[in-house]
Amino acid sequence: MEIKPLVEWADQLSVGIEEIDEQHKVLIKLINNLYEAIIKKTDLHTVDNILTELVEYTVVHFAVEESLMRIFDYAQYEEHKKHHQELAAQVMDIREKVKARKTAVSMELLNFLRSWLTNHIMIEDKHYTPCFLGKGVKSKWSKGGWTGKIWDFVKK
Amino acid sequence: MILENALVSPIWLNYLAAIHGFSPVNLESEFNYGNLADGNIQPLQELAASYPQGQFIRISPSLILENVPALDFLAVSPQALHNNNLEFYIKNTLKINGLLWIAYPALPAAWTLQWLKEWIIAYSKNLSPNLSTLEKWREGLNYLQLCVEKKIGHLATNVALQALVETYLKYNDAQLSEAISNTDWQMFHFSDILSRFKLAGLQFVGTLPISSNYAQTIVPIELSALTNTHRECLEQHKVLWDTQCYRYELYIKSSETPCLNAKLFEKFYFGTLQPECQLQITIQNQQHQLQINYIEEPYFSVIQQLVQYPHNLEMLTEKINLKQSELIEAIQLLVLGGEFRPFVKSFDETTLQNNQQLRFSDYNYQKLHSHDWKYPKIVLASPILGDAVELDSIDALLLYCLTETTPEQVPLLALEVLKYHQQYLSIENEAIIEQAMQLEVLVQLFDHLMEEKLHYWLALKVIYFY
Repeated sequence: MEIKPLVEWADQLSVGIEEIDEQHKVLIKLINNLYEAIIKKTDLHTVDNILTELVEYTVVHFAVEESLMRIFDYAQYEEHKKHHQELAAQVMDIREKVKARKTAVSMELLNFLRSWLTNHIMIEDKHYTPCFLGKGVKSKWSKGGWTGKIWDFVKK
Repeated sequence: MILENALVSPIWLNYLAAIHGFSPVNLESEFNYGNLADGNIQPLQELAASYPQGQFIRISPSLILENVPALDFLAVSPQALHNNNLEFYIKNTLKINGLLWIAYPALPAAWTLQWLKEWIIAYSKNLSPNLSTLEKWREGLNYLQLCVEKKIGHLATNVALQALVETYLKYNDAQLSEAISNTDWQMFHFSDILSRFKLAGLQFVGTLPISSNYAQTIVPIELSALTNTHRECLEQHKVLWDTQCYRYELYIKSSETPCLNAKLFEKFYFGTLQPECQLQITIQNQQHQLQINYIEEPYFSVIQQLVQYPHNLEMLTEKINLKQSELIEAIQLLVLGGEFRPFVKSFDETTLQNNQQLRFSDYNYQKLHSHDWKYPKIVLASPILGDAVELDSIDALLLYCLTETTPEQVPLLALEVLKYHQQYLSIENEAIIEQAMQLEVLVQLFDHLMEEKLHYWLALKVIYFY
């Protein structure tokens, strides 16, 4: 059975920098994997693994964004970093509760993750794009970005 | 790639002993290496990091350090030769079959050095007082270079002097200052050094670099005879016309007659750091040149094996249908050419597995951690090579970042490190100022490092998985 993804990538989600878009796509894919696992009633161990990967990748993605902000002297760096910390804490909290079986992975939880991610992308991340692009960051890396390739290399 | 300690590294001292028929020190288990010297300790630290199984000890030339363990190797600096207790000290501390390395300014070649120093100082006295001392010395060197070009006086025929002028012209200010103004040195005759060490129960083995055992002779003689017999007599001949001001010699504490056999080479691995090797090589000193041709067999077959990874004799014997003695002769000629060398170990079959972390040895990590990324090169230790190797700074920075963060963040962290140290990424000596451009170049360099270079540094264990 073909399952329609919970979150679909659309142009309006693009922040205008391909490298960051690619990382956002990975986060979307992980949330969709979680959704599919629930619909298919996959075992809890698989669900735990997807949630762990979501937490790990979230930390990496936020670190990349923060590093770019420091390099390009983004004025709202501290504010954005604080927001990252809150978002990371939320997703870690969910992972811990699910692991401890204190909460079930429900549609309510998935809807929360969907809005958690899309708000982050649509509202917060779109603020820094003009700053980065204005300082010469290219919207597209010359070799199609380093993320996917190296992430695959290590996680294979 | 430059190897930092090829003149004092245990693997080279062992190899030199073996080609002259003496037993090398076992490097597979613990060994002690003493360094009788003052001054820069970095080379000893690099060696210690390249041989985790060895203990490396700095000993003051005044020999005041007590409780030094029995030594397998002792490296003696020229300052220690002034100490009259040196022979006694060697007798007491160097193990039987232990190897002693020594460097000293050697006569008659060092006369050239003395002449040059005195001439430059005398010449500079007549120059304008508005010039600094270093500027005056450089003026003197420029004048001498002109004399070389115009073939005037001593400079027309004295090749040693010509080479020295050329060397001094390349020196930076600190090196030139040290070379000209250092009065705390004394020249020695090979015969005197030989006599002193004979009293300490040592035999002369040979000279470094390795090629100096073959290529610098004017005595027409077979290779095997030169490496095997009448070593001291031949060395007396060599010294007479040798143009190197400094000599690097090896002695062994043994009364046994040297005997060249395949067993001496069993523990060595032979390989190269070059991705491809030349098949015709010319070795030159100031007067002579030696053409080496590797196109013929068995050299070509041996090269085909050694360029892949370091092989020992056993591995080579399985692949090439030759006697061990024939293989040894082929390897000796390859090493003489300069592109091949002995290794302490062969490469591990390193494969990347899930969630493996990369790390450096403590020495390499500390070196990278405290580096200011100002210089284009950095030297790190390799326990496979038994020596320190030179990396491009930017590769080292990316590798360092790879041990500190996830791959996604490596180019970003590298840029942040450069920014913290107020350095800019440079390509072919041109600094890239714009941050965005630096980031883009770092992404490409990191990509290239992962695809083309990482496996190489892993093979040499400059960086490793744990």
